[in-house]
Amino acid sequence: MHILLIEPDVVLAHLYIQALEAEGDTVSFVRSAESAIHIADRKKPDVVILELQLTQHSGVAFLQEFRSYTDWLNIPIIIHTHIPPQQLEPFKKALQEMRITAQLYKPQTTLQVLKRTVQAALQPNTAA
Amino acid sequence: MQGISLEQADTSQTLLLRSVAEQLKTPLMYVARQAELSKATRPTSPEQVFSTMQLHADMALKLVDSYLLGLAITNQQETLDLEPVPLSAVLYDVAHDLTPIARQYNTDVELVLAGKYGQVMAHQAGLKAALYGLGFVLSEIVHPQKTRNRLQIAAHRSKQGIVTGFYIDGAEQMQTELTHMRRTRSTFKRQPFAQCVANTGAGVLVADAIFAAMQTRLRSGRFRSQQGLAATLQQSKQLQLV
Repeated sequence: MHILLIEPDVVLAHLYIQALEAEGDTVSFVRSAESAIHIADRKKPDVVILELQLTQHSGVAFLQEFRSYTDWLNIPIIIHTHIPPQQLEPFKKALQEMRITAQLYKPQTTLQVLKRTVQAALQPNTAA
Repeated sequence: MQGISLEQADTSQTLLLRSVAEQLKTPLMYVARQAELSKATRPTSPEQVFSTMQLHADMALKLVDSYLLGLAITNQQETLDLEPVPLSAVLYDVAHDLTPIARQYNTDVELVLAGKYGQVMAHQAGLKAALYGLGFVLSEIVHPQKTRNRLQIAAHRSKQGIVTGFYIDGAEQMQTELTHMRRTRSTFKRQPFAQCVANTGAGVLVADAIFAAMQTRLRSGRFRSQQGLAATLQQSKQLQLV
């Protein structure tokens, strides 16, 4: 399976990539929303892992654009972010409308949990 | 700092502390996740893994000390007495400390000393802390087109004094964002430098406070075709015996 990882911190990204690739998945890694759209266009991902705190264009702007393409409507998106869950509460409805598969708070998400969440998202019956 | 009420000082301190706490999560996350990964995958080069973990932990400790100094300044507990400080030596030390961590972020550090400067009037520990915090934030800058970046640590003369700072591609918006931050002191921002830095950029805020306490100011600057942030320091008038 192919994962698109959108993560501005290159040091953390390399850790996530190692963990995900150990499960046999391939990973495309980008640091910005703009690059993510280009990369997804070149190779359609099976799942997207997204940090909302990006530079220039936010993760939310990425979500809006990504979901505007019909080809990408059903691709599972996992939010893996520095933003604490309580600060995302006001955006809960908007995120549900974007069909987010899972929301993970990065400082408290182990690699094991991240991998399990990705594997669950890649199951055929995962509802986006 | 003169002209700021106690209420404003309290808010500045709280906001700085929040920014610092958010920023420090990253090196701690790195250490925790690397340890987890190493347990699961048994790395072929454990020494390298341990060295990198040590690097991040040491960086976090340096940042804590920088931030404690910044917090003490904003709490008006610390006044920075200026003394003659060997600028070149400080810049060498900062470049040396920053290089391995900047490399982790695909940033090459280049020290550029355009001339001999002798000593400048500064607070040595404060100057080092400010430069380290500032340099760390700038080395993390996300450039839309580059996979590898170059961070210049530079000093050069101007009419006003010795300009000392950091310059890197992608930092063009930082001055505008820093000015905005100074005006909106009462509001915490998760990404005050959102155009180029994905986190709180606490090192810039700390550097801003320290330089202000040294009676100078962080401003945008340009050096050898790169934009960045720099402060002007006054050369010591003390005679130097060779």
